[in-house]
Amino acid sequence: MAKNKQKRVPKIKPVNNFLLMTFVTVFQLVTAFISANSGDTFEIKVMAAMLILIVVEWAYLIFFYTAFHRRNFELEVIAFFLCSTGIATIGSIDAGAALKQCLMIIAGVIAYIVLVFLLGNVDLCMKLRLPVAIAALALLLVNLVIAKTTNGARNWIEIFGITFQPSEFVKIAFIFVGAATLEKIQTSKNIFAYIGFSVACVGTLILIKDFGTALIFFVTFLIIAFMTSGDIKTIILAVASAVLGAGIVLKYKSYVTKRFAVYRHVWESDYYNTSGYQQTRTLVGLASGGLLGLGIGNGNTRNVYASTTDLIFGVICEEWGFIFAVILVLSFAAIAVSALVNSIAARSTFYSIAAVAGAGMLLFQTALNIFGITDVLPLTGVTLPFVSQGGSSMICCWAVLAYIKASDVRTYNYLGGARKK
Amino acid sequence: MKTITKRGIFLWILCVLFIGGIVFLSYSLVADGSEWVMKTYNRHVYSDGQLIAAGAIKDKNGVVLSESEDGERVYSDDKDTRLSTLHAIGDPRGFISTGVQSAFESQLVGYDVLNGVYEIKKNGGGNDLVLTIDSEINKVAYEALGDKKGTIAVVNYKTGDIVCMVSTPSYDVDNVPSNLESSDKYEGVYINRFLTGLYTPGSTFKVVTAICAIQNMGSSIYDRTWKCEGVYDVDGIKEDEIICNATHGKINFENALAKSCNSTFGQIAIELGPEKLAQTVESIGLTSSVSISGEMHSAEGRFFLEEGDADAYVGWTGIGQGDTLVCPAAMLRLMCAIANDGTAVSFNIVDRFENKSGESFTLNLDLNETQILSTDVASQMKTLMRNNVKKQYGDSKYKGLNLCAKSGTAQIDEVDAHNTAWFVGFMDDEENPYAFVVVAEKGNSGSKTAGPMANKVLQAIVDSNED
Repeated sequence: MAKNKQKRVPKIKPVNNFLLMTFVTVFQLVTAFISANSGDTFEIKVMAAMLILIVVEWAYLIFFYTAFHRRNFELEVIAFFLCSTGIATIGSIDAGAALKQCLMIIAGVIAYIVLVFLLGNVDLCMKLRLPVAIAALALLLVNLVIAKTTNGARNWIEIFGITFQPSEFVKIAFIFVGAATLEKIQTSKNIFAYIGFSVACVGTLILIKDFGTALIFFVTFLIIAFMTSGDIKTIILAVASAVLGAGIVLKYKSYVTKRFAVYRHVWESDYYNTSGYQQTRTLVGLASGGLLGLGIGNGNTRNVYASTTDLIFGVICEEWGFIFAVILVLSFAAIAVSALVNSIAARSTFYSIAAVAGAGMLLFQTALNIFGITDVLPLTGVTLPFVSQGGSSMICCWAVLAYIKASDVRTYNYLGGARKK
Repeated sequence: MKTITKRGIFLWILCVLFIGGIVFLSYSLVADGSEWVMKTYNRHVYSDGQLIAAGAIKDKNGVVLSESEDGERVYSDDKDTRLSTLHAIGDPRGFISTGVQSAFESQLVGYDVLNGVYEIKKNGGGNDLVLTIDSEINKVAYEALGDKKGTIAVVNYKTGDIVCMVSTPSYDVDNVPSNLESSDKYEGVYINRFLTGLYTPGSTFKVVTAICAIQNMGSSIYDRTWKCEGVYDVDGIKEDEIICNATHGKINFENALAKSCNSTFGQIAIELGPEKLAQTVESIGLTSSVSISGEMHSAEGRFFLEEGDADAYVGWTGIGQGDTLVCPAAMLRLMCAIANDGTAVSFNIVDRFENKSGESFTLNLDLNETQILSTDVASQMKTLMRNNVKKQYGDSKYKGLNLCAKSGTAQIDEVDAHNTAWFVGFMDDEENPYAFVVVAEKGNSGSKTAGPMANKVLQAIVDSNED
């Protein structure tokens, strides 16, 4: 259906990508220098990590600008901005971790490049649909086995000293399979297949007690369900959503009750040193930092458990200031809006669904993270996309970003676009 | 394709909710940030429970009473100053929760949401607090109390400014006694007795009974006489007899108050009845909490009379025995009202705050004036209390003070030495408009023990004002 349609190219003011990237580079150099200097000694590792990132991002920009004549780099610039904030923050807490984080960003960028190329070929994508679904389910099964053997204590796998979280990779597959299945003329078979797949994904996460990720999958499922067309299928999907939602709530009844007991009560004497510890320390840090922040290295939130992962937003608030922290997370809203704008003119519904679902996933995870640790929402323990320390999460974020990039009509112009027609 | 846009609605909603969440968080930060910062586990402000980043506290003459230095709260160099101002300031660990250091901690830290604690950490504390208290007068009061547990407070009844506020026992924060928690000597050391002590009022309560009598019996009360035979037989039961301090014979109202005649005031109380007494007690705020600078609050007094109570109980209550408990702060407030034509001004301990650039600001509290007595009743009480000093306590013992006062000797048990000694009143002097309260536990006699203490402090204030 989409193929025959006349495309209305959204009017986006051309941005000078090189100027934009220069701004980001200046930001990166300054923050890396301050971060490296924040401890007792100058941490060369932090500076090195940032310099590597700068080289990578400029190489990426110049290569795709010249060789592929791409002119849309706004998404990447935002992502590099987020990543470098992560490097500077993580590096100020643990210099060694900054280098590792930098490698993960590179891995993420590679995944991104590959996926953008792959998504350019819709036919191939359709063929890959089933294998990807099977691979995802297999990963989840492995995850389940590991969780079972460790008594539900972990949802990560360690291979050759590298740990990775299967559920992060399943996120990528979840969107891919959803968009690819529902893109074509929808048969009931397709819909039921996808519902089955979703139930399997969410169900496994429920079994391994990863409430936050289960919730992210559920919301992504809702977005995809809304993105597909109306009538009977919508009703089926709505019912399926309700059942899934009810399943999550029932399964987690005691867990959810416990979360809600502390939620909005974190300051009370029963909680502020127990299940409200992270939230109260984050809020105290937030207030101590004020709007302008105390400067990198001068906060106390950094000393709280999970400061480089779940609580990194709290560290940034305290040290970089609330104004900066808000600008940082508004980036995700910007990504979401660009995905929505792209979806209007995307080459096919496959791209539209994938882009909106991907952006929704990133935005929802951001909301769970920043509002969870500040007691605006119940705490679920998810990471901040692109910023938090963690390899799987970083690769997943870049891959999800590829869906949004693919929906931008300017991305594949070099393949022909207008010319080939 | 339009339908696809519409179907993106879920993400649009998510975006709006996301922005809404950020707005909510920003609002919370602005509204509650100053509260969050003051959590004792905020290491920017506290270390090991001690306020490390806060301004200095000074007395009215600029004498530094406590300040933050190298991550510690440091008190005055002078031991007597430390002892006599401890309860006004509060201890470094916040056990004395009624001190200004706790009550005004957020102003002392000087948090602002723009810079957070940045400036505070850089400059070692936000705003200095200048008190209305004169530490020299506090020292005199502390010395006057000697080894007695109790309190002395003096307030300017025109402005409400507290000039002196001492509570004993006290201890030296620079040399904490090892038996602080165990020794009887330090019983209730963390309590500011002026604010949270509750005492049987004894004869000072006769001021209340007298007010009630004037309010309800009018001027005819001055024409009446009562008979005092040393013991007033209320209802024929031996235990209920009200025993007087002497046999006063035929006695009028004025002299009955001056001589603190229990027989007379027992009879007056019974004649007034429990409801009228209860009404007066409530209207003069004796059972209400008194607030100082809007942040420190006294304990509420207890008064139990109600309709249908037996005469003996009413009589005993009317002379300040029975179950009534009064907070010294509330009694002082009543003295202020009598001195100030019936108007009680709100108490104040904060003169001003000064920030690091030398600008000063105040708390912007509304000057809360409450007319708790009619001008007429206040002026009659003033005359009566002036008469007490002239006829009973002796102006010679309170030279140049133009004192109006009432003593009280509250019996706690059968032993006279255990009596709580009270002395309350004010100076009827435009130049020195001071009201005071003195309470000394195990003080035996109000006029003999508490009276001289009041004199020492008031003379010191008058002297310091003349300099």
